[in-house]
Amino acid sequence: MSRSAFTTGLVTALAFAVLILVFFALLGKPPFVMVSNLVIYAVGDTYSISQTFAKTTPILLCALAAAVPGRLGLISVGAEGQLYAGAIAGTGAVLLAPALPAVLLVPFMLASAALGGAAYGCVPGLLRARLQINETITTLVLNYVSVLLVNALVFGPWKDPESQGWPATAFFPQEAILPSLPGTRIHLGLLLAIVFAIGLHAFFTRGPSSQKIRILAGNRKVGEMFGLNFGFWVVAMMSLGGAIAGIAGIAEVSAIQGRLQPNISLGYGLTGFLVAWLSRHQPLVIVPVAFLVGGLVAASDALQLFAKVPASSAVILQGLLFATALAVPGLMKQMRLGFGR
Amino acid sequence: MKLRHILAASLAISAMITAPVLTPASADQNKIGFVYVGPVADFGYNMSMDLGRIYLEEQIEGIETSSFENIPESAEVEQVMERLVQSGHGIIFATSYGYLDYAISLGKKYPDVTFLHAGGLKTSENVGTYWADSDDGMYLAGVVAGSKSESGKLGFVGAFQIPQLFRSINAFTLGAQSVNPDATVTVVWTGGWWEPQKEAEAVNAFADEGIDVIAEQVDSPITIAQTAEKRGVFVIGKDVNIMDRAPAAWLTGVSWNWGPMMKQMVDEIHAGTWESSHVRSDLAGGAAVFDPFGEAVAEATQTKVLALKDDIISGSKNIWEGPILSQDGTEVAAAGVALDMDAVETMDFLVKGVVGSTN
Repeated sequence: MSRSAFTTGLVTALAFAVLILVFFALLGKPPFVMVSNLVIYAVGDTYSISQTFAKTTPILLCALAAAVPGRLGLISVGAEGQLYAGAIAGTGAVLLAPALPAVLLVPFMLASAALGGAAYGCVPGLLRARLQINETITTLVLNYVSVLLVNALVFGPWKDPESQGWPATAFFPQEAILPSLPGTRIHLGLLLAIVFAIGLHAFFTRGPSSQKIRILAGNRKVGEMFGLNFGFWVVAMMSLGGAIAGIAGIAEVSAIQGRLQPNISLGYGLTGFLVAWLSRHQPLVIVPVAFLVGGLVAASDALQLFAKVPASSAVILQGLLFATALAVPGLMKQMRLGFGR
Repeated sequence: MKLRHILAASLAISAMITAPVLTPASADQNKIGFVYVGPVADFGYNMSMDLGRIYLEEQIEGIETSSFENIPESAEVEQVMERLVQSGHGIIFATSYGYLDYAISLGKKYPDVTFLHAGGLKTSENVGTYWADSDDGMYLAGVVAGSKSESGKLGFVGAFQIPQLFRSINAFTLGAQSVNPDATVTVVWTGGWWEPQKEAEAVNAFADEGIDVIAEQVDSPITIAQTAEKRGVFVIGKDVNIMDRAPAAWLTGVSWNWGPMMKQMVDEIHAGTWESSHVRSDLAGGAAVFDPFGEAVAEATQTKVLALKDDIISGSKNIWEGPILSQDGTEVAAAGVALDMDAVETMDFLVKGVVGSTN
């Protein structure tokens, strides 16, 4: 890590700390007690750590899903929709073959979720590659479609007849539940996410295609002069990102909810997108950043408990984090340029 | 980042998992947690539950309450309730319909904690339910609506197709039909407890169709009442009395008074006499309240409805007494026969005269 990056990180952290202290003071709460409570409720005991990892997992996967097309210079905000698409495809697999033993059912479920997410990412990829339609807009609007598709399914054909009108599928059989550490919500999805992060790091820095992607991201025209196919890589990266978000979706459904229903994601797609940008699309940086944000999300859940403040305070804290993390580096760059003049 | 760093980081993380800084507190029955599906300031269902919480704080010495608002009916609520358990809460009020399965599964994991669920149909060793039947009140409101309506067309905005809602809609319809046999009730489902936009759209669509009295069962009557006020149609409130927010549109409503019921359950838990059961109250019990009439209700209607209310409270009138026909004309209860408690609690049909689907 270069010295200036370290300084930037430090100043960002300080600025965020000052802002949340001010925020708590404005609420009329003892600011230092509140901040230490946040830390305790993020990593202070086994349960808090389990909660932090439970929130980290989908955020990490969605961040990777946004980072993959990001390496090619694409701005995809579609992780949320791809997450839901993966949840649908994975649930479809479970409904199709509920009697399979776990060793077959879990891989089948994960694979079809990945395919579902990939297909959902592939569409805006194709539109961009063939018709030059902006992928940011298409991924954004497609998010709504798959969220509503889940509603259509669980209010309609997939509704558990025994749920007394409640919109959800039946609970998954035990064989379709991702394994987790006993007594916690730390599940196989976290391990997969870390493996993906390491694999993507290798792929983007050392893999045989890493150079091609870097050239295309830097200057598409130059890349095409060398005979590289931009369209192919757009579709490939969008699909790969979609597949990862699809895994996030089925992991939430299987390990956390136990069934498909509305509200499976608490905005993980967008949070993941911000994490990817904060980490400059570097998979190995995304892992700790997702952990920090996951901790903040988990602890700010508990904020209502120890601080007795309204639920919206948690949203404000997360907003403050992202705003400082995006604003401070820009401001510092500006100031450095100013001094240099 | 080198492999060395990754190894160091994963070691640090595993150390954190194996060496907890805090140990979970044991269940303290003076720490009472509340979980709400919407905002506390919704002027509706969640506020009614929170008024119960405030009542407990005033009435029982030495207790401490905590509350979580805006918690979705997904596995998220399980995590929030577990957070309450971990911080030593011995009693948890799970106040939304969709929380029940999660309360039961957590109850198995934490047998020392008592969970009290609003309106559920299942119990377990340490999960009891509480509810106040507003059916009688909705029937009375139906009588008011049926007397007021000129078109004979009434509307109902409902959240989900669940038994609680079918009961309200049916009671309301039967009440209206008792004064106007041709009255119809058109139902719009919003698919969510808190969907102000859809609720406003539904009221506007109702008003355009010539429907002139609108009842509802969503989280809060506020959007529906205020839209009705603007459109010049009448409204039946629910959960919290918001008469002053829509004075011209307000006919009456059915609200809650959870405090005394909650206090009784908590007192029993403290005394060690509590046993898991379905605690139920109604108009007669006092947890369901028939709200005051608005200015638009004629004197004669008021007198008649209040007399009917006395009959219901004294037990001489049962609103679920037949003949009751379902939408397709099937006889559900024959003349002179009343539906039993079980049939009412698991109601899955709409009565004849209701326009809307049950699935």
